[in-house]
Amino acid sequence: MKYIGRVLLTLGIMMGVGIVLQAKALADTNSKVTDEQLLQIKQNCTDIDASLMRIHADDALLRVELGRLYESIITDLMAPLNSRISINRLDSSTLVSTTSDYQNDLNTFRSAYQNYEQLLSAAMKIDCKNEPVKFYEKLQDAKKARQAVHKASLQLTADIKQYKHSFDGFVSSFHKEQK
Amino acid sequence: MSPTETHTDEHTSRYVSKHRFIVFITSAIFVAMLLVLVSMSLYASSGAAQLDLSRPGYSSVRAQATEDTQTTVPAFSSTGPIDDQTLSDFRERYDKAAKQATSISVFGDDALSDASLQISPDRAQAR
Repeated sequence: MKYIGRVLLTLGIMMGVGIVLQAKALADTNSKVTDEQLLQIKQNCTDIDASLMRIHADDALLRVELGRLYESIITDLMAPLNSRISINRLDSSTLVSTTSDYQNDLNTFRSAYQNYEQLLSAAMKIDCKNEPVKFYEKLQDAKKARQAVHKASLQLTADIKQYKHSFDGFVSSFHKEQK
Repeated sequence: MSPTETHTDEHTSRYVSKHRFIVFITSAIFVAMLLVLVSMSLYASSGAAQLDLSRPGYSSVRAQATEDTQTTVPAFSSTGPIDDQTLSDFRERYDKAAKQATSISVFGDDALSDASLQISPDRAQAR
């Protein structure tokens, strides 16, 4: 009897946990998209698709142009200056450190954009008229990924400014040494 | 090796000898398909796909892509002395590049917002 009681209690606890988890999952799904939004998605599906295609193409162009500029800054400016300073046996440690941070953040930017583009492409492949919930969820994922790209670009901007600051510091110390 | 395995190997090598041309063509096609799979996988995973403006979905912006010279900066020489003129030259180049790279905020939230994609429920209520 005791054994049966324990088994029943264990089963009851497991069922309770299962019901709670299921309710939470349903609540999460329901909180992501409202009925009004679903209706909007179905009604404006063609326009939404056209907007996403335009955004996708514009972002690609921006990525190519911006990526080229970011690469050029490190390849044609930062690295040569660091090298030149080292060859002249001057202290370039701060500049090198900032360059290293910039390189890491550039890699982060590249990965973040790749992830964003893949998620956006996946969202665009979903038929928003027939699968509006799935479409909306994928779109939210793409939105979060885009925020990550934005954050990475802000970090690169900060690194560019930091390098300028380090360069100004180097110039000041260079002038002091000359005196 | 067992007699059955030996017999199978002999049968296989006799078959290959008899149909050398077909086996060669089939192997070549198989190797080509394998290499295509490998290269497509690299194309997707390396990030090259995101930069390839020749993709069908990017036809509208292809013409807008500028020449390399318009977005890259003139390279600073990695050899030579460090003096006031050099530092001034570098500062000028760097300021120009930095201005291009930092002047606008990119990949903001607005583009994929519910409002701009006409998914916002406020639009439904407004109607």
